[in-house]
Amino acid sequence: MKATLEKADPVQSKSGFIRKIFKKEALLSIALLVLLLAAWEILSRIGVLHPLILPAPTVVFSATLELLASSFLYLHLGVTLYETIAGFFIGSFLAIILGIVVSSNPTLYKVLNPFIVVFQAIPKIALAPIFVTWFGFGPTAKIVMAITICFFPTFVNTVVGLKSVDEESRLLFQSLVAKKKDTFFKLSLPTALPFIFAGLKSSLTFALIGAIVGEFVGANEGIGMLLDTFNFQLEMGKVYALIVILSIIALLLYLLIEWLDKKLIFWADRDNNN
Amino acid sequence: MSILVNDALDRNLETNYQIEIHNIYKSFDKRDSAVTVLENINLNVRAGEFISLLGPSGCGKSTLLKLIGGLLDQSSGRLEIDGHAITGPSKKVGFMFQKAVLLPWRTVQQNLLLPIELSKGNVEEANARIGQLLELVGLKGYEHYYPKELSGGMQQRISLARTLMTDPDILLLDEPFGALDEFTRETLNFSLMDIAEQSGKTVILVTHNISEAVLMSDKVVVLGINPGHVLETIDINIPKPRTDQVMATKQYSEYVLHIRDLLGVGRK
Repeated sequence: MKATLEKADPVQSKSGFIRKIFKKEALLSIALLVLLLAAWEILSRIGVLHPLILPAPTVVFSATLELLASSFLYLHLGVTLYETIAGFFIGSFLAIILGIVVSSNPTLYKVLNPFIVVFQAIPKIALAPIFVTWFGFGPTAKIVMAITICFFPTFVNTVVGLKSVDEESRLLFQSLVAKKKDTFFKLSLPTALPFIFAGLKSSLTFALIGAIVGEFVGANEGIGMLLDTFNFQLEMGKVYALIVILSIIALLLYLLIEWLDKKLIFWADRDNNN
Repeated sequence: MSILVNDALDRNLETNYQIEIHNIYKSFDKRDSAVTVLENINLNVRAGEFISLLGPSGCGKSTLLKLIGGLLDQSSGRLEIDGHAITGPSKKVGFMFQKAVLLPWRTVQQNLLLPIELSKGNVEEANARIGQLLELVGLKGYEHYYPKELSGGMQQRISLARTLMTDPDILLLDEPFGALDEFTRETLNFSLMDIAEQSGKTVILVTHNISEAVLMSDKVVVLGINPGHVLETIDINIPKPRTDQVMATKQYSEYVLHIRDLLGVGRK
């Protein structure tokens, strides 16, 4: 009934086509995974792979089950997740606020830019021992590490996103005599939001890395500490099991933020991303 | 003394013009030197007139439109709307651009409400207006669509409706249908002519399409480049409302050929 004028829906059939290809590719991916695991298992059983270097998948699997059944895992997991999420929220908040402040004033941007470039160039992991010295063996040092390492992706994307408002939209708001506040909240910020979310996705993974690295350097609890301990005890099955668990958690966090991204930024054109 | 008297006399004679552009210069600073883009522009527009600013790229026609809309300041000269100097964007003026610039996170309805929100207008009154305006631009029932669900032509119709939301006296249109295909463009041109004639609004249209300018306008201002200056202001004395039939008349083709001559296009 409403399709009286111009029609705009060749997109629909195209996405169906993409879905078909994707399904076929997903099957192939799973097949490849099974193949690799089988080869790994066989190579371990016939003694080509030393169990201290690479324990067999079945060994890793049973170690994973064993760890998941133990209560101490959740204690350490809780600590690491707390550090990660606290670091992520504080780091992202600071990144977005500072990104907005820096973008709002060209002079400030030019003055601060050299500092930003230098701080960005610092390999943040190298700061971990310093943070332990400053904040001790507790979670604070790890949170600070997570903040430091997850700050930049969101910060840079916030600045780039706020700059990406096109000239004609600015002119439109100008011609409508928009106040600065309205231009920011109704134009600049929503325009920047897809960029900010892309930054947040990287930042979340980075925050987890920050927390783990912090725990490596000095901690009495957390998954990083547990990894270090098992490695020291040559419990290789459990070391790999922890890596599996960490990967699953990182994946879950990523899926969560991706879901949020799709919910909040429903208008973004994602066809090009696949 | 006599100069002052003359000037006052001129002003009195000009009082029935809605827009007065007098001896406008505009230059932009580029690196060390200033580049003049508009030189000695004069133009008077009566309320309800349909004016086209026609010329090749770089003739400063968009710059002139932005000056009238208060989005830029002239380097020198006098620019007035209803006898008042233009000091910035005004509510008497509605702008429309080559791109529809709809906000993708807002529905058609929310996009149309934007000008009202920004000017702290009455949203309820505006909501009642939306239905009428959508009907006017031929998109009745599309309130809850998102821009990405609409074609380019439909988006420009919404953009036109948004320009009309605040009911401005003057429409400044910067190649509004320039990015659309020929057929959609023609359809929208006729819609625009209808709207202009029915509403009695003043329209200033920037275009580089000669036949479009002649067909639609009461007056075509032909601009040349380096720097932008008025080659000739031509009154199009073809009665309105104009239909396709106009294009078959000798009068119409004479205007078109004359402008082609002025701009030096085509093979002689």
